[in-house]
Amino acid sequence: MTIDRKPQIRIRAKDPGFLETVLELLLSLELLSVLIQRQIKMRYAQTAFGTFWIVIQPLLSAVLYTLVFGLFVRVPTAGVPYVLFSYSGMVIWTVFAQGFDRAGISLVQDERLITKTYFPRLHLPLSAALSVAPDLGISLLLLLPVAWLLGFPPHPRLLWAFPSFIVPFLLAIGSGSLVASLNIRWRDLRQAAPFLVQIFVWATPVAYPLEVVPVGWRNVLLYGNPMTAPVLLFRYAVLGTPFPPISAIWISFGLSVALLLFGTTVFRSVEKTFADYI
Amino acid sequence: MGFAISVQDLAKRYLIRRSPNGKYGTDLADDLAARLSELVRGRWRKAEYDDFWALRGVEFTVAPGEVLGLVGRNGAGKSTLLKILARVVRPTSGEALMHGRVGSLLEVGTGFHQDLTGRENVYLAGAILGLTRREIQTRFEEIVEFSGVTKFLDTPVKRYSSGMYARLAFAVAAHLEADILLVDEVLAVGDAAFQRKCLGKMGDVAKQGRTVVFVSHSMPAVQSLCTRCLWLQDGVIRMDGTAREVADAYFGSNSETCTQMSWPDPASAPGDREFKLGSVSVRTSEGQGSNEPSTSEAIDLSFGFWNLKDGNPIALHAVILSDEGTPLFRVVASPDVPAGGQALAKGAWTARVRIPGHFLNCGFHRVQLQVSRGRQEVFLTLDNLLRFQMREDRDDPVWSGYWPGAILPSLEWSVVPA
Repeated sequence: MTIDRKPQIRIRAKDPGFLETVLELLLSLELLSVLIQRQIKMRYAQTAFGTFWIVIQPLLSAVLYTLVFGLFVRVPTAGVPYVLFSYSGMVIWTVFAQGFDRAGISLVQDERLITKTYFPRLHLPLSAALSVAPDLGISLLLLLPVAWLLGFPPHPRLLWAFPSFIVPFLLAIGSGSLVASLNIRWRDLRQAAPFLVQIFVWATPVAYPLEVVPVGWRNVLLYGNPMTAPVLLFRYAVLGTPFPPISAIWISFGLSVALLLFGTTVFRSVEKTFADYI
Repeated sequence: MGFAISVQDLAKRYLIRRSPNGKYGTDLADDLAARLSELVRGRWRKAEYDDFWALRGVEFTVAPGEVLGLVGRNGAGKSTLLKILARVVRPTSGEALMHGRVGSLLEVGTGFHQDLTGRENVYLAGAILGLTRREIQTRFEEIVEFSGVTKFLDTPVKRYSSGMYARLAFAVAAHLEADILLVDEVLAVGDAAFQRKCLGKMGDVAKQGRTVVFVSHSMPAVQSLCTRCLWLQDGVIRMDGTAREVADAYFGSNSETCTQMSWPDPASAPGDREFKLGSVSVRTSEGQGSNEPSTSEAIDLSFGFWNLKDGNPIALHAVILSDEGTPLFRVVASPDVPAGGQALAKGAWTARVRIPGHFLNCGFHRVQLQVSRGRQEVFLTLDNLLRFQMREDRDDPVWSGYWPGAILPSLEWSVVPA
């Protein structure tokens, strides 16, 4: 039995070009899907409470925020129950935070695969970040019924939730690829990355509405932080809070694409040394 | 397409970092601290590196269906070359072209993932090779049958024994229809039967017109499998020829012999609490003086040892091997030949065995020693203990050049009228 698609492989010292890389990724989508399945399977296999943890982590954060900002500080949330307000923020925030976290450690985690076989390396952070999708689905299964129960029934504007997921995924892939490739050289970066994410969450209106921020700072958060627009858009879709300025959405999209290009470019330029360092 | 693999002027340099405190800087904090302290001292210099060229100016072409062996000592660059072809390591300069799908088996285990089951790993490996799920499914049965791990298919591979692991890894690589198969040293693991099976399978793969590149320390395996052989030394190709030619040159190049060894201090001698080896030697019998006996002369193998426990039933097993590592025969020196017989008293002993003349063929031979208590419990194995050379006996009136064969016995014919 012969296989007709015999590839011509060229091994050189030079990095492959951008188009070459994209083409290679597109030609191996089968591998991407196997890698995503593997990521998902491993996570659910490791703990009996796998599913449980996916829901509990953002929920616990939301409960904590509810305690501090909903009860102690009493942040105004324009008629939305605070727990719903912060949980909806956490659901979309977690897409970025988890995706970034998994993508960031993907290379170090799979060093055996890297040192023993060849495949387009970008599939590792890509599959790690995309493997967050089922978690998001599970979170929505909890969020939407609870929202309905608390007086926010499904509405056609819910469709806006889908575009709101694009930026968190792009950011997770871009920053995750960057950190993953640096992690190979400097392992202690692994400790620093989650800390940076922790700081970043406070610069995003997850636990507080943008309206309580002084106007000058408000614009910094809205236009300088690419996660702000997706959070606002997702909240609009689920809870009907105000629609974010369209310019903020485009800037957020632009920033995340820029980070994606930057992260993957760094990744591709140090890719050749992975096996040497591991 | 005239070739499966074409390599042009390939080179690989590794930078080995020299840091002042003799430590390899892998921590960001360390790196930054080092740079900062240099900055404070007013000099910003680049970290110092030592060059190491693992490969240099390597050029060769492999035709489809050819089975190429790569031999050479440790550090000669064989594995680096294979890793470059497998695209795990990027070359520093030069180019390689390959026509076809490449499957690789670098060391044991390949790209298996520990937490996944055997079945899932087969699919993962197939996807890495660029096969669709369907294509893998059609070969799944074959793979499982060849590997013999049917019962453990749904067990995570981290629970596999190293043998099972190697078997499945080989089965996957060999059956997933790669056009070019890169194999490194896998035959070192697994039992003899599976090794034969692997060699046979690689031969089949070649017969189907697929190309195999095989790195091994085992010359007999290379010779039995490979049509052609590359000998690498210090990162350059020293020889390119048939497996037979290269094997001859390879072993001819290494003319060092080791005809005796001794351990004067029992504390550092090989052995255990009850047995210590003192010395080993091989020399021509009857003190002929020559260190290189001819094939017509008898040789004596001597083993000096201390027995540290009264009544210890020590048995020495000397294995004589060809230089390529094929065992020729074994002689057992056991004082208790009828099982449970005489055991040794405490003290120093010498065991000697004579190998008659007109028995071993000329060339290099190696000696392996195993020591057991009684007949069963082998507690000491020493490979490559001695290496000696038998000379051709040119004084023999009937000598007429080299005769192939592991042994060269002088046997009596009777030729009578029928």
